[in-house]
Amino acid sequence: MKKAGFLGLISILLFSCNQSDKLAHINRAFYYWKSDYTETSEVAALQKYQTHTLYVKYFEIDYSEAMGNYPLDKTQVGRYDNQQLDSVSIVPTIYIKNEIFKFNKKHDLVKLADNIVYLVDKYNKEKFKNTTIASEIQVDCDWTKSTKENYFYLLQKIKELSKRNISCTLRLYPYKYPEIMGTPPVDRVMLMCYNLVKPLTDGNKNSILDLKELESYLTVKKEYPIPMDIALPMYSWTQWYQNNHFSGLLTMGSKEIQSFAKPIKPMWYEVTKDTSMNYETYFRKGDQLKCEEVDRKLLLDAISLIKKKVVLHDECTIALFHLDQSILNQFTHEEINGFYTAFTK
Amino acid sequence: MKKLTVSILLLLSSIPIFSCGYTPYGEDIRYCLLRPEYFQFEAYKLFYYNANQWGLNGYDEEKSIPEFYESNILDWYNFAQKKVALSAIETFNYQFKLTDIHPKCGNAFLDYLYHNKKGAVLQYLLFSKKCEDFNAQQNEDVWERNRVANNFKRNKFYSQLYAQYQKETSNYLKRKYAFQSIRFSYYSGDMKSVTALFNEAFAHSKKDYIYYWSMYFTCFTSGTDNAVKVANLFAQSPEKAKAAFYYFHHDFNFKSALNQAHTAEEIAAVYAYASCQKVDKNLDYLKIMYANSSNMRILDFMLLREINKVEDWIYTPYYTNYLPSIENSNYYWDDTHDKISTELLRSRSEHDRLYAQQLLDFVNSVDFTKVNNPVLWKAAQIQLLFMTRKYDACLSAIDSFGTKYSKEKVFVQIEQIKALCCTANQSYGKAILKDVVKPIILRNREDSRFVFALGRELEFLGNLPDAMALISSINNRESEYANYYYESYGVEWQGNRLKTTDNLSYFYEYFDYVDFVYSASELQVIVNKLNTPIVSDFDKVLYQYLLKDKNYLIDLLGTKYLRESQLENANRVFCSLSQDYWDDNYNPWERNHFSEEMIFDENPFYSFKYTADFIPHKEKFRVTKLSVTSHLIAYLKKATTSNEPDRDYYYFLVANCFFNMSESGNSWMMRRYQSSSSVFNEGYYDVSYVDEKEYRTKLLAKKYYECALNQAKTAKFKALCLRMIDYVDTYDFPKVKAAYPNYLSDLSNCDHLEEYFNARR
Repeated sequence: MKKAGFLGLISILLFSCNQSDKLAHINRAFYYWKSDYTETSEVAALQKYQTHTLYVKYFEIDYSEAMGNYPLDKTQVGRYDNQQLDSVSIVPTIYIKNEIFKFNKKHDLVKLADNIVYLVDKYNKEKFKNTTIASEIQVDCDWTKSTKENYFYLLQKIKELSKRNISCTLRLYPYKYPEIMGTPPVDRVMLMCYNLVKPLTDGNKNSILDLKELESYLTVKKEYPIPMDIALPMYSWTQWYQNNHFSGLLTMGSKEIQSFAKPIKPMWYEVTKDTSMNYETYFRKGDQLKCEEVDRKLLLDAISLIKKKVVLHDECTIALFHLDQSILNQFTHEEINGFYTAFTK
Repeated sequence: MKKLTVSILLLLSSIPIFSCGYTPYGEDIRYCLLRPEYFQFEAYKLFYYNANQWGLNGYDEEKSIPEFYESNILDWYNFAQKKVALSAIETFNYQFKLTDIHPKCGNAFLDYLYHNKKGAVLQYLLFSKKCEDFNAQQNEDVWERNRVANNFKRNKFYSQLYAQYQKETSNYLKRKYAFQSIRFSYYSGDMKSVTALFNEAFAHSKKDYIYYWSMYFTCFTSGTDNAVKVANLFAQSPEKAKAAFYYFHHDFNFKSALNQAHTAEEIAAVYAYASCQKVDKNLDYLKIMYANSSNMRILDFMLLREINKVEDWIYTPYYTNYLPSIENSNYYWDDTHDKISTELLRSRSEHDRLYAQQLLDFVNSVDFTKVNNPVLWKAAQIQLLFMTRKYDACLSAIDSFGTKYSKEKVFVQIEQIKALCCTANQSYGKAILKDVVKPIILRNREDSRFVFALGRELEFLGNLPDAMALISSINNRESEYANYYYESYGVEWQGNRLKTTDNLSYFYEYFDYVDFVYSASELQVIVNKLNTPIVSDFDKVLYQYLLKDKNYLIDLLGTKYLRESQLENANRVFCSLSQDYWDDNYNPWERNHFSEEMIFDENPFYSFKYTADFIPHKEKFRVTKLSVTSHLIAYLKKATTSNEPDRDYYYFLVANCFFNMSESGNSWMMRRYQSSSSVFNEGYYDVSYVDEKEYRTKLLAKKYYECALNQAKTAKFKALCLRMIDYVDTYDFPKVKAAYPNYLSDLSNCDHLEEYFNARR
């Protein structure tokens, strides 16, 4: 017992010594979460940043009483622009709404897995005919303790039926508490270092990326039992409140709203004059706006923390969320490049 | 303007299924089994009977008709003792230039001439190439700036050419020099020399191709016998037939031509010329041509053209329900007064069969030993025997034809006629595909029009399973023999549900046709056949597409029972489909071949399109045709049970379901496979789908809301029932306004529906 404890200590020391924060090489990736066609400049960005992997959301899955499990928000990418996507490998990515598991028994999940594999294969053939498709399917789901059994069962079935590698996204909570949340039966996980706080719940925190919140999940350096990749946010959004009631989520950033709103505290602005935007949104004087943004410094600090606390291996994937020209416009070329190279420095 | 509106409405009403407005016409629909290609009439391809014959450059030009070698090429081929490939001679003739003529050029024809020291011929060929250059020069000097210099050169060259013609001792080459000189004179505008040279060189010559090619240029002179010359040219020189028609048909005077004709052959030629674009009956001219010159090849061609014409008149309406392709009055924009119905089409087709009989009488009277190509005449006779329904005589003629001509190209088509004849020669209700027909089908599966015609013959005789099995193989995208409807040899056809109406929807897939035309009991017969073991190799091939579609056909059968308000039968049929079928269809998983709009995404008993739910979903179930039908039956049963305390509730649910199974509902797929908003008037309902009126006007929904109203216990729920009755027809609510004016404001929108529904008790 003593011997075992000593060996254990030695191995911890060796482990710690061998673990350098710096990775020799990473695989650069983007997520493509929009359902419509890629813009030429977005495709160009893939080459510009030497990105070799694109996680394309093929569809989402929801449940309805009339239809049972059903796909929605199907991707339109590929049908017309797959010739341009020949420099990257596409990873079919499926978002599953966690709530569906309430309505599904195991035999329903076998059918669901079959349908997912069928539709992924169909799109691979039809929409991404001349494109490299990775031998992987990624599943994104905010599973909970109560749904993990069904979710993991579904993942197993997808793997069995597709005969591909399966990866899934991993929130920080299940990362930190695998003994509660379980370890998904997949080949890789993608640690999602964002959306740590539920939007609208804490007015003082940036729900996209809050460093303190991130830190609270990364207290001890440890290795997750499944090879891990990292997803980082680049996007921003603005929450719009009228009379303290949430009125909508807008894609505009702080630069755009400063012409008609004044800052009142970190992230918060108050509309100073009635303003109509794009014929769609009418801001009234007194409305409040919360701009949640991710800037270069915040992201680099987050990367630095991840490097220190998360055990990563060479050739792991660093994926930026997500490929969208309006998001790319908020950063310089060097900044975006820097998010990738920060892991190898 | 009024006319235009009516035209548009009629146009729309003719295409209830396909709203894009496309309708096939012309060559798309023309039926032709005796194809000109069987008889090597390629040179006359511009005069084939077809729907585009108002111009010389119809779509036919695009069809791949085999090339043929012109007479001059064949002439050189014979000169070279058939030792040089025709293609090499043709290459030399049409592609080589003057400077290409040398011993090392590599062309087999020139090699032959050099090797065999045919110096005189080579010299002629040099002259002919120089002629080509000079003749082309006229076109190149369009601004006439070099006219003087060119004329000097031309005159000098012509002197050499003419001198060569005069001194040439070989008659073979001398005639060729004469032809070159005539042609050169024509391009120089020297018509006097054209006439003089022709008279000098060809007046007493044999009438071979070079005679006619030379004579062609004299037709442009002011000769007194030009009309008959043009006719002779047309009849005797296939290569010049197009030019003889193109340049001269406007001024062609039939009487003058006849007066100018000196021989029986010339009389026949005049009639041939007059026949070449005749779109009506031409039997009289054929008889005269035969009487005057039975052995002319142009007579064979005109007979073939007449057969193609009668095929179009008889087969196109009979098999496809279209007017003959050459008539354009079946298109609504042509302001026709004809009411085109199946009955009318059939009666015209029958009338034209009488003409086929006259034509047959003529062919029977012909001495086949005296005609140019007896194979064509015998094939035509077989066609006509079939057209006139002389099936036994037709089969006997086919047997005798087969013993002599089974190697002929046309034998393929004679076999097809045999299959059609054997099939048509059966009584209604007893028709089958006989064993003798089966190998013919297997050999001709790629011929959509034949397969379709055979399918229709069976359909007319009441054998729907075999008929649809045949028709399912044409235009089928999954068939290896697919000739898609948009290709030349695919089939598009019209069909109407009632024989006497003018509502002729068009089809190119059997499923849509069965969907539109047949009743549930008729489709049941097909499904019954699919449920029996299909064991023979032939039947496995024949039924492969129907078997592949079996589940979809069962679905269609249930749908038809539903359309016919036979709910129990619909339920029975839907029950026979496995759960997998319902799992794989009518949802967004894209496993079926239905369009993306065909998704059951709301429960028709509780939900309405564009309306927030206001009825609690007491029973939760996946929505499929089966679950809707079975619940409809169950709810109807409860609603009609006298001691059921919630009869109003169940009537309400039933009414909701019938509402949603209409064009405005969330479950229109219960009744249709495609749907569009209606612009049709009441007259249309009886000629469309059997439940078209219900689908558009929701009479059953109204009926059951009224039942709910009668059973309702509270004022608010009564008002809601009235509101739904109003809602079936209009967004105003006249009945609510009359009976419950106080509730009108609440019930004019959707905000209070839940409250009124919950006030049922």
